[in-house]
Amino acid sequence: MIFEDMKPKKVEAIKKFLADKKVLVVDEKKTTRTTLKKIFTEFGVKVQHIFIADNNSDAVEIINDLKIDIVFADYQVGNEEGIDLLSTHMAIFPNRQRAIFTLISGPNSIASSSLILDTEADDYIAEPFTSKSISESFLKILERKITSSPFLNAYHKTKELIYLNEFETARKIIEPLKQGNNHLDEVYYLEGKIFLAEENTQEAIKLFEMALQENESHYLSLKTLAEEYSKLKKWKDAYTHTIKMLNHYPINPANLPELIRLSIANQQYEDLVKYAEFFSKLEVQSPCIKTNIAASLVICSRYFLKNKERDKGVKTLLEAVKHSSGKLAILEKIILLLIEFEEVKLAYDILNQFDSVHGENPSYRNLEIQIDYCNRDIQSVLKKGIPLAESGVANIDVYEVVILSSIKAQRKANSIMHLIDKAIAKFPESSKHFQSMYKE
Amino acid sequence: MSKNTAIKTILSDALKENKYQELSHDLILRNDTSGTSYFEYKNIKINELRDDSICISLPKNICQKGHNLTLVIFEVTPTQKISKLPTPEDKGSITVLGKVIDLFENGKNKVLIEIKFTQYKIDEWQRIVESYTGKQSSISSFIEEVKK
Repeated sequence: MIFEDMKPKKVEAIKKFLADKKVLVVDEKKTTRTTLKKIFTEFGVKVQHIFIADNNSDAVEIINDLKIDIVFADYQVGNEEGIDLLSTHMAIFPNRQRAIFTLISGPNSIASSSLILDTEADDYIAEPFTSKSISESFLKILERKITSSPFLNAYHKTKELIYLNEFETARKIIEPLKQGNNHLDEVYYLEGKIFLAEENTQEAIKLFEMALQENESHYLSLKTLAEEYSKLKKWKDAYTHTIKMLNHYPINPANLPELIRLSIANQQYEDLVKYAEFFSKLEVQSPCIKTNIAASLVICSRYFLKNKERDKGVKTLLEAVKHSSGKLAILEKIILLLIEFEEVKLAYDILNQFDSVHGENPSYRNLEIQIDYCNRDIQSVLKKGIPLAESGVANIDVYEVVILSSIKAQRKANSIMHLIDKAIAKFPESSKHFQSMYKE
Repeated sequence: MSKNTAIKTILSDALKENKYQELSHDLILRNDTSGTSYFEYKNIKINELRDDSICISLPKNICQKGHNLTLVIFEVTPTQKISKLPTPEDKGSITVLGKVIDLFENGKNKVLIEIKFTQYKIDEWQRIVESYTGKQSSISSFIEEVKK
């Protein structure tokens, strides 16, 4: 069934490729591991060559000890990310021509899958998946891997040598390829990478631009140029190249905040209005993507609030709350922004929505206390803040407001000094500031 | 796209909504063995679609191995809070009967279960399965444009 309609020669080549290959499946989910094992055996991988891990630490050991050729790693393995295993796999197989690394169970937008374009991972299987979708994708990778040509051999060898910092040998391999007319985009890109690794950014940029003249949609050249121009603070060039890249490829949602910063650096504030509308309209389910969108919306709303566009800023922040999935790190940014711009009631209302979820978390309680201080509720600040300060989990702002509130409430001098000592012990770099707050 | 057009476009105009859209189906269930229902579809995640079964992760203690379930899979995200199970005749969802044949711990408070279908419309189920296969196909084709 898998090799239906496939030429016998190709089937033979795939089976030969897989005959001696060792496969590792890194996934906590037993059902996924079972499905993948079944697929691999149907493809011709020997049962005794299929290994399992349910955490990254074991996976690293197995990859290193057994020199695993093919890794299928879950997008999220416990609290870790499957993509983190790629560096281990690359150390074993710096030449990626015959090695395979696939991420599985990631969010199923095309934009989400673009995260692997910036890595040496070969494929991305989205969730929920079917056996058919895994088989078809695996077949596509195998067809790539069994395809050999002098160019492909040189291409992968050059990348390997760059990874191993053997730049002169890499140059020797590239040089003859420049004489031909084929794949010059890749050749110029690789040469640019060598110069970049040698910290010769100027020459590298020239070569990436040459690669784009050969192929205006060469992803890696577009991406690298946008990054390098940003590092050089050549914002207009970074902006232009990012547009060119987006015309052909979506940006990884994790990089959406960078897009916003680029627009701000180029003073293209119209972008921010459009980003806010764009992100608000997106209906995504994946928590990690929602978090990226929420973070992006917070950046947009900061701009609106700073420019006295209160209604737009508040509306965008409320959208950020919706996309936050209740993640405390994002809520913290939202609340602190609202406090900064004196929208204290709104900050309180938003914080209150998540009391049942985060009420016991010290970070949540820190925010509560800061809001109480803004509301001049000294008693609440002292009631909630002193225990936090004593236990050492208060943040620097809370230490400050508890000390100020203690002074306003005319507490005993030694109580105030005790708090100051606690604050200095936690934040020694701010000792002068805390010491200056109270003179007996 | 011509050079002049690229320079005129601003960055936000280059974002394409369809590239960020995710395909998803929401699911609620009734445990026909215990008589309880679970309508919090946001806490149920579909992991894998098989020919005649489905693997989902959901909170603990909703069902056990061997329990019979009625699943309702929505083709469009519900806009209102669900308080009762839609009937099989309701448009916008498909109803499937099945039995929990496997159950595994999946993190602190969740389990992963496989539900084997005992009663379902093959063409309705296949339509959902094929939509995800198609989605993966478009992702793989996109990746192929760049990878060597």
